[in-house]
Amino acid sequence: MRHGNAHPEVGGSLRLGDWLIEPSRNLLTDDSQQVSIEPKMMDVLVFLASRAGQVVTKSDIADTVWADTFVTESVVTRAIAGLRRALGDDARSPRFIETIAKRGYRLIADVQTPSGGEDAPRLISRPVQPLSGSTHWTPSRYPVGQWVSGFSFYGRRRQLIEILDGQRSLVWLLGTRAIGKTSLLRQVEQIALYPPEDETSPDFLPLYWDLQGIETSEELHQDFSALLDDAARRLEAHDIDRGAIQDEDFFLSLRRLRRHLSARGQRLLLLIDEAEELVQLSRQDPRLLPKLRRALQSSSGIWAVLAASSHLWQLAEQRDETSPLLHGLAPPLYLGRLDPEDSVALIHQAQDPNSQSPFSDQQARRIAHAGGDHPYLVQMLCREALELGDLQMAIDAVSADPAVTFFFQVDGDLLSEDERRLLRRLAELSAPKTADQLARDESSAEVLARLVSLEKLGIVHRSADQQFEIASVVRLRWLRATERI
Amino acid sequence: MRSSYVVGQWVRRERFYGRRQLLQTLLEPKASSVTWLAGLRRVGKTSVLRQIEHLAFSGSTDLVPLYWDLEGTDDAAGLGEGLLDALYDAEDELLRIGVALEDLDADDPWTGLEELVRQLGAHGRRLLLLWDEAEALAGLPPTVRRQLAASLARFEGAVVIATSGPRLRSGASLHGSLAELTASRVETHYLGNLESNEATSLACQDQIPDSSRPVLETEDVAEIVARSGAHPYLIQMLAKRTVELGNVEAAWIDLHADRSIEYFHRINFDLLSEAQQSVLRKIAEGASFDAASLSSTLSFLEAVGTTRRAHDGRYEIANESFAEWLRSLRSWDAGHDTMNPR
Repeated sequence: MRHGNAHPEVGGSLRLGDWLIEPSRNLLTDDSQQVSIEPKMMDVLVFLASRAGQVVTKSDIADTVWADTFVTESVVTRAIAGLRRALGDDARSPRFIETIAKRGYRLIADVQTPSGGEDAPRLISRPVQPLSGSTHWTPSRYPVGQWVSGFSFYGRRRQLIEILDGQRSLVWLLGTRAIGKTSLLRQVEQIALYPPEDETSPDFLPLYWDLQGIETSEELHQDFSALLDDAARRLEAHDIDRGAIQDEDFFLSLRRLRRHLSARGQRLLLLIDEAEELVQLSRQDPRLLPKLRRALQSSSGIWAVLAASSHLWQLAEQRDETSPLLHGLAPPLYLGRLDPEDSVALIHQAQDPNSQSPFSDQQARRIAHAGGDHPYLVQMLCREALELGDLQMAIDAVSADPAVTFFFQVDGDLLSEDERRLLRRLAELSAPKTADQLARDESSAEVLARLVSLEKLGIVHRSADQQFEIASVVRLRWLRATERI
Repeated sequence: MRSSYVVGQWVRRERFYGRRQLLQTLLEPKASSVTWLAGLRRVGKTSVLRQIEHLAFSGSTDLVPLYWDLEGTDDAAGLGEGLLDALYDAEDELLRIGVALEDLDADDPWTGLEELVRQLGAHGRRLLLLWDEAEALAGLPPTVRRQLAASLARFEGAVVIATSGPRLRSGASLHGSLAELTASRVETHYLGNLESNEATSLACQDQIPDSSRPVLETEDVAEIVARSGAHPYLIQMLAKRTVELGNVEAAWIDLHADRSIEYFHRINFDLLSEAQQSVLRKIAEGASFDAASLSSTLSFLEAVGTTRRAHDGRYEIANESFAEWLRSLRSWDAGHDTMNPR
């Protein structure tokens, strides 16, 4: 597939039927709900909107939205499927996106562009005011809502060691929304591709595989084949003839790939993102997961990391005759808050030797505290602080940001009722408390277990003297204001 | 430093601890034999098979192991795929014996297996078939089972070791299916907890070099072994977190703060019959029961590592974590949401 260089015009917000589309925030909002979608999915939607009523081919979409990379048409198909899910659309009787057989897609809903006001894109409209002298920093120094790797990636040493140098060949990376799961996978990929010279790490062939939008076993098979297409050069670098391993059957391709790599003393490192899709896939095809477990855990030569939220625990409800996939994945490797020093390093962008941070150490610590060392929140706060020139205003702005509150809501939905109750209780308090002080109808041990569980997710912070509090000022404000948890 | 504990993954070589008597028995089989190795989840069945595989390849036995995971196998094509995976894994070792995979090319798994046995025989070797997740055998269509049985009948001197849970979802045991499939007498072994000294050895990681061993106080090791009831999975989870967090108590709390332990207990509990579950709950709650009339149930529960005998002869739940979980079932019965999936 040929790719041009044109990017979709991601401009201001627009209305699509009852939906308000905010490209800069990757948000869709209607009267009753708010849906966050992936940036690429938003790009596809904006591109379709820019040609509303016209038929747009898959190739046009891929060439425009994925201008910098080689992708197959199945990526477009998945993005469209994801958009339909987000919009509540039905391919068989579409209200928004119509499939034109053998040609492409057409946006059929009314598209309107609201003028000015709060709907206007913010990030490009506000003046940048340095806080402590630097005139070179712009808010875009802090990538929010996109994955990073290399020098832009901060912290997570424990998880990196566990994945790349640990004893387990199958790892479930568990974290809440926007905590940095994709970035960690991408960083693992980078390290595996370019291992430090002074380390004797295993010779991995890393493949990053995003399962988002895959709804059927057939799509899973097709997508892995497309992944091998995308990885053609990487395979060549490992002396692997793609044609010799690629098959319509994912499991057969995987088996052949493993054999080729094993013959060279190498291992496949499969980095599977959005692994929550396995919940739906296994409902649709119960035979899939047993085969996947065998492929990923039983055979030598394959290492795999599955990144997913605690939604993946839904697999626990399945009653398999043999060992379920989840058995091999438990216990999960948690991805919670950054270590405080990594948080401050992120704020100072300390891994960039040519930059001088616009924040003082005191300001950085305050931002880290307000964001609860959550990389997404911390970077949002940095952006806003640079835009507004005031930390308190930045905290106010991030606390009111619908994208942030949406993530909090999603996090909350994945907790148990007991955990939600405990969070509400913690939010009502003015000072940190111990598990004993927080216990009411339940035992201290039960409360402590729940608090530690929330701590692992980065939602709660524990001090050295075993006092617990909500980890972030921004989340605390939301908890106090919301009735939706 | 990376942790030396292996949690949630099969092990072999120096990472494998204990079970010496069992391994010796399984590696010195009669001319032809079928063994069913039954145990609950995470007790180390796969590791036993992998260790047998390692010992057979590295020892002086005439047996050539083939580890074959049957998970997800429900038809002839699935059998063929599983066999191919098994052969790929053993490719280097087979080549060392003189058997090349290319020479085993066959359209169906039975012909492939028969050819493997024939070629091994030509080199004076016998096949040691290590079937993991053998529950799948019971779910094969009758025609496939008949073909597989016919093929196995032609294996002279072959040895089969099959692992599975103690009970199929239907309530039946795999013993009958194996006997029918292999037309042989099937010997049963239950895999339970480690012996106390083996458990201590595992917690201390004393089979690896000193420089790589975790630093644990003697009393911490004893506490880890006691709390985990010498269960290999629990020992390693608890020991790993103890090393990371600095004390057993904090590790114990941390361990129970995610669903892994609850999931582990529940899925094993579900593998037991209602009668067995009922006895376990009574033991956990300290309720009285007639031990004499329940002797076979009690023997079974002890053999699979869910219970143990106290010094005074009383039955008790083998590990503290499982005992707590069993007692929590009362609040589950009462509708409390502690056990609810998140």
